[in-house]
Amino acid sequence: MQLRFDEIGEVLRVSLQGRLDSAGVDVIETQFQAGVVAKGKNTVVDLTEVTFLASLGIRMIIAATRSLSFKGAKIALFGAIPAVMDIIDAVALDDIVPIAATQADAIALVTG
Amino acid sequence: MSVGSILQIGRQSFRHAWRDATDIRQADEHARDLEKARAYVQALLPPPVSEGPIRADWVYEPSAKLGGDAFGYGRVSEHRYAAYLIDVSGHGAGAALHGVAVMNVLRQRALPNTDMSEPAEVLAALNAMFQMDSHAGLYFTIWYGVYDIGLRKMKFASAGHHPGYLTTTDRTGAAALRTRNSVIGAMPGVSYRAEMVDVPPGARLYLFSDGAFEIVTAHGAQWALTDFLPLLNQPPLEGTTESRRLFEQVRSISRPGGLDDDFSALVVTFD
Repeated sequence: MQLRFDEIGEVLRVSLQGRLDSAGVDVIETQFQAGVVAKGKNTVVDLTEVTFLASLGIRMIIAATRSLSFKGAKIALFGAIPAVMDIIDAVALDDIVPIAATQADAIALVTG
Repeated sequence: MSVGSILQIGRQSFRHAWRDATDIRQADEHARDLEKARAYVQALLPPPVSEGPIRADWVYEPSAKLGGDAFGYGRVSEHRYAAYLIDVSGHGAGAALHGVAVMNVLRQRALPNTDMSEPAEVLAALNAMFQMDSHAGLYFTIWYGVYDIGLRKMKFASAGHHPGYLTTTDRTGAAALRTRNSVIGAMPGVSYRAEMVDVPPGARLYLFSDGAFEIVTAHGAQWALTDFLPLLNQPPLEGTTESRRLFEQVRSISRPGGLDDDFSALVVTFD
């Protein structure tokens, strides 16, 4: 699992690549927390290159959502492949974190 | 072989490690402690029931020594019988401790002001009691159902959990039982939805953790729930419980080296 940060205007974009399972989260969680939560900015997470999402990955996302909420910031996910969307739907993750189809939609969700 | 290298023989993997006597002693002590903890968790699980109008068999196989899966079943009133399965995010000691805490609350019916025969109430009470912020960032998913023995109906609710499946005696179909609710502990104040289903004579309820189907096969393919479901209606194996049959089939399909996640399966049969 790899991650990359960049900014689109005032919005932070986090791009994840690979399997977001226990091994993947082990690799990136500290960077993710430091890069996302610590900054406290409106954030969109690019899932287009995420091939699998397991419970620890879901936990990482939920924890970031709650932490950003306390700082008055928003987060949205976008671009999930069908297999990952199935997992998101199974745990009703979209009840907790907004999910968008495209980057533009995700940015609109966090800035609106 | 150099230190750190891995030898693969069939389905077994062996890592070459170098330890001095102190390291070995500490590792052995740690392994014994983990085994005691695993035995403790297993002792909390209800015994299988092989006779009577409601029978239950199960398999509990944590991927590490300890896992975050837990389950239970039993009467909640004279005419009502509950069954549930929980799956704490992650595995290892932290997830196991959390699973034990949840399981003990359910076993002892210790949810305040909660009718244990009402699944939606149970899930709401669990969510209020086990918010992530005060439980080391852990959440869990749950499937909880209550069978009314007189009416032959099951009321159920699931939170972030894949469906339980109700199959018939002739093994021709499997009804997916799921209500769309978010995981337990992620957000306070959530309302949970429940539904009800008829339970025909001889029906079997299958509850299992996602470790049962989120495997990588020996060919490197990632399984999903849809790959696992056909196993439910396969014929029984003489001398083997349903849950053990499922575990052995999943293990035979998965890549060598053990399952990646905890495997729990509970099968309840209603005559």
